[in-house]
Amino acid sequence: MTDVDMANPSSALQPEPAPVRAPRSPGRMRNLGLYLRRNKPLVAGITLLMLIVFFVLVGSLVTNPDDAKPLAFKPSQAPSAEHWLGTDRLGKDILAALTEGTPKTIRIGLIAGAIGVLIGTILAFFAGYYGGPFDTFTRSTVDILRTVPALLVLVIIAISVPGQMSVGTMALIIAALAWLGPTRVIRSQVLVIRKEAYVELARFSGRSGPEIIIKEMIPNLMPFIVAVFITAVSGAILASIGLEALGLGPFEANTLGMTIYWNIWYSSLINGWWWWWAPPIIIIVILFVGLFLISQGLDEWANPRLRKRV
Amino acid sequence: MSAILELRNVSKVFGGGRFSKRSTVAVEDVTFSIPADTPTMIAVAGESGSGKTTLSRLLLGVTTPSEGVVLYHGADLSKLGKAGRKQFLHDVQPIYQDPFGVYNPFYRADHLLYVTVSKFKLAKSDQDSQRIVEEALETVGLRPNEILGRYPHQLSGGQRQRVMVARALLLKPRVILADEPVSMVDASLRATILESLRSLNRDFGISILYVTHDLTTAYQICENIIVMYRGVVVESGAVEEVIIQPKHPYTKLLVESIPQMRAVRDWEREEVEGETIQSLDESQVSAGCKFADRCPAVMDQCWTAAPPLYRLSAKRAARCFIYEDEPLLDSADVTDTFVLQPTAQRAADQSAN
Amino acid sequence: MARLNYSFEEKASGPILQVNDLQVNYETVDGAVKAVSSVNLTLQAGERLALVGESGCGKTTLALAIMRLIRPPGRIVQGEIILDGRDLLKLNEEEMRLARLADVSLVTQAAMNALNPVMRIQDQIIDGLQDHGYELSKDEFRRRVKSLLEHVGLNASVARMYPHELSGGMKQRVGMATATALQPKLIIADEPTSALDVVVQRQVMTTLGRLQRETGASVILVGHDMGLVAQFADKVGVMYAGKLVELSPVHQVVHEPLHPYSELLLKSVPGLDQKQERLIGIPGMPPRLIDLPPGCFFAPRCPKAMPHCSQVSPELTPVNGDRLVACHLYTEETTPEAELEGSA
Repeated sequence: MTDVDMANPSSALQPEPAPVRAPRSPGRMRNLGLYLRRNKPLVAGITLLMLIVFFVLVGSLVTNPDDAKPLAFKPSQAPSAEHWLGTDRLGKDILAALTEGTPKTIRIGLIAGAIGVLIGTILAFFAGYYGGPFDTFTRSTVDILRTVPALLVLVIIAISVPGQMSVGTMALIIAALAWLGPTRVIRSQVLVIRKEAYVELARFSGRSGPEIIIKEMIPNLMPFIVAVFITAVSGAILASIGLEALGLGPFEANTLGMTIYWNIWYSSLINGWWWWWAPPIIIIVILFVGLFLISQGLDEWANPRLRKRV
Repeated sequence: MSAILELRNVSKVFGGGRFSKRSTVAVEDVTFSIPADTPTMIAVAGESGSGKTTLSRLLLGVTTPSEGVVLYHGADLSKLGKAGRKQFLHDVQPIYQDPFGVYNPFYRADHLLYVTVSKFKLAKSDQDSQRIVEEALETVGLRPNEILGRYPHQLSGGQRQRVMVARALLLKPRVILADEPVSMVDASLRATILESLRSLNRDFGISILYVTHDLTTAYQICENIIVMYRGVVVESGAVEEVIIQPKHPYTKLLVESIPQMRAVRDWEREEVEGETIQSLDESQVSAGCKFADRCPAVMDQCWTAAPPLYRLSAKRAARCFIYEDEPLLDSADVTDTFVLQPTAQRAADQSAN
Repeated sequence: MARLNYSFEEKASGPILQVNDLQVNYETVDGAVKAVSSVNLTLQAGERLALVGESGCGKTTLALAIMRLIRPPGRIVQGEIILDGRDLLKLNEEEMRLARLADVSLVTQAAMNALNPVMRIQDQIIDGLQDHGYELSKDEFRRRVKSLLEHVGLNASVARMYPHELSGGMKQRVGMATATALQPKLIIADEPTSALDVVVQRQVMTTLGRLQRETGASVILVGHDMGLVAQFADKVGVMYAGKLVELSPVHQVVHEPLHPYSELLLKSVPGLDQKQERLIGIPGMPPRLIDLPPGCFFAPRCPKAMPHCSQVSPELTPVNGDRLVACHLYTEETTPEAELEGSA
């Protein structure tokens, strides 16, 4: 009797052949390689991110950090052999500025994303697995907070921060809201696997609640959590650019958002300094598209329904 | 007679209160027990919606009753403390229907076996664990070297299900609650797995509750049977009696509808000659007996009053007004209709064979 | 309109379905999985054939191949599927699409879930009819649908209902109504009642039987329930590891199975006639379809295996009249030359 997946009728018309039983699980690396070949979004996304890494590498070879300080050079020069991307209105070598700023922006995204997903995962698992009042409270909090415009909240927090804004502080501010989405989304998945028979059977095998969460559920949700992480990073980067463009970012750093800010301040578009506004935008686009494709690819890996057969 | 697990007037309603329109009564006023000192095999038979799965989940303690109480060694199951629960897990173990969903795809197939051994401290060393796991696998007829180290998707459905039986066996429980253990397994493997369940009962003295919709296998391996329909017990007793000579109209219908390989009927001619089951597509809701709308022997009173369980013989009870002249079953406890052989008697019988 | 009142002409000769040397593979990274290996079978008009076997034996693949519903990585490697004189494998996509439903139709186990949840039943059936070029007035379509539904034992009111309002058995019968709408010559039922309760199963199978008699169509029933097969089919084909190992009238197989696998299979299915001392299964496991052994596929598990069996693969040969068996136990007796030839 073929095991028909009742909720997926097309699989009923495509019977699984008898399972191919290998004596040992065939090399994980080989499987990974073959899988990557078939998962185009993942590969494409990683390639795009590699492009950015490459860009930063080249930049760090060709320029040095002092070139990114204000008035290092004559301002508003078009690209030349000396300054591959020209200089901006403040006299910074643009290539140097981007070489410094891109990793910083990404770092903000990574820190905020990581904190957000960490908090989110913990909350999601405890709320989803145990249910009850804690779950109701968490769920309501998340749902209510998500209705508040995030940027607005971030702006208010940013304004209230005493002293100078730094990259680290930015990351923490954004992290304050970055956990909302992950909590919600991971909780839904927890609710789904909580119903799986192996979870119940684990209880009958003597496992306690926290053990089940950590040892039985999390390993299965790892791909999904990673996908959520990528999305969170993406969102955090966007938030940081938004805050910085509004002038609330770390003025000393040459993050992508700050570059945008200066572009706006000095009306580079109208002034025709295309070498100043184009590169950061291109980088941002590549970054976002890359992250998006990776999360699509991971989504397909994490969700066996979508998986087109390993 | 002491019972290890007992349901007393247990009802379970899903969704909304008892009187809410959208609620479903999965189980209604069931009383029976699994005896402590006489290992037996009890079949809980019924079709989808009969409540048989809910019944086993109530006994497992995974679901709590809406009414009535589930007792474990006389104590309320839902109120057990940590120690009590640990003892309960030692005594009562489940086997599930789906041989795939019970495996965590992240781990190898033997994962839960080792977890059980370690959590219940069944072994003194790693070597000991390995030995215990291997023994359990061999008891259910598997070769350890074909199972250990493999992932679930590398094993066949039959193998996976047998590993689950091995797991249930590790704790040497008193009761195994098997919910449709072979319905997702091939025909030729069903026989092997069911036979191993039967040997668990014969050789290890484990009571088995076999929840199924397949009356034929229920007949083959069990001694006693409870037939359920829409949440109520409609017939119970010794399996030889209930299945070979069903008394309740529903049981009769069920038995007659089983396609028998060696006793072929002419369904199409039966349909033409009017011996059909009334179309269950349009079911009028009966306030009395739940089977009224499909019953070929329905009487007026069946629509307004629900019949109680009548005792028809030492090993039989049926819930039908046809038998209203018979005595009522004491406290509606169907355990009284079971065939129960004390262990000593059973051992004597075995050595006599 | 003549098609809708298809009167069944007796063809002078020739079966309604002839499958010759069909082979279906599934391409995987580790090689080709031979889901169906060189199957030959013949089906007469109005005959009911059951295909039985266990998971992975190829019965579903065979049934779907006849309808050319095999999708990559599955592939029909070779063979002929001649339905009423036409080789289906030689049709182009459009011709095959029209042949589905009009000449050969399918009732699946998941017919219940194959109904569009947001369309009324009658609209879905009419959709199928229109797709095959029938242009009738709205009323005529509705009348046709009503008649189809009544034929499968459903109340005409079902036509205006949505799938979620129907029970499993009712949905399965809607599936049968659709499958017989254009009066195909062949109906393939792939485990149509596996998900249904035994009482509903009886109703559904009785309906299918009646439909078959009324339209004169042939039926291929794919299943694993020998009891049901005995109840419904005229002939039964037992499959193992992608091959047909026995093909005989059903009652002959039940009472006197020829192939050792059939024998073991039947023994493992208990009945209500007698309580057995021990339930016996079939030891061992079926071979991996990607790595089939030489000779007879069942030899490693066969209690009657001879050395010859693991060298030469037995072909389906006639034994005792209209029974076909692929086993050297019988090949030796009837055609000793085959052994000398050493067929592939």
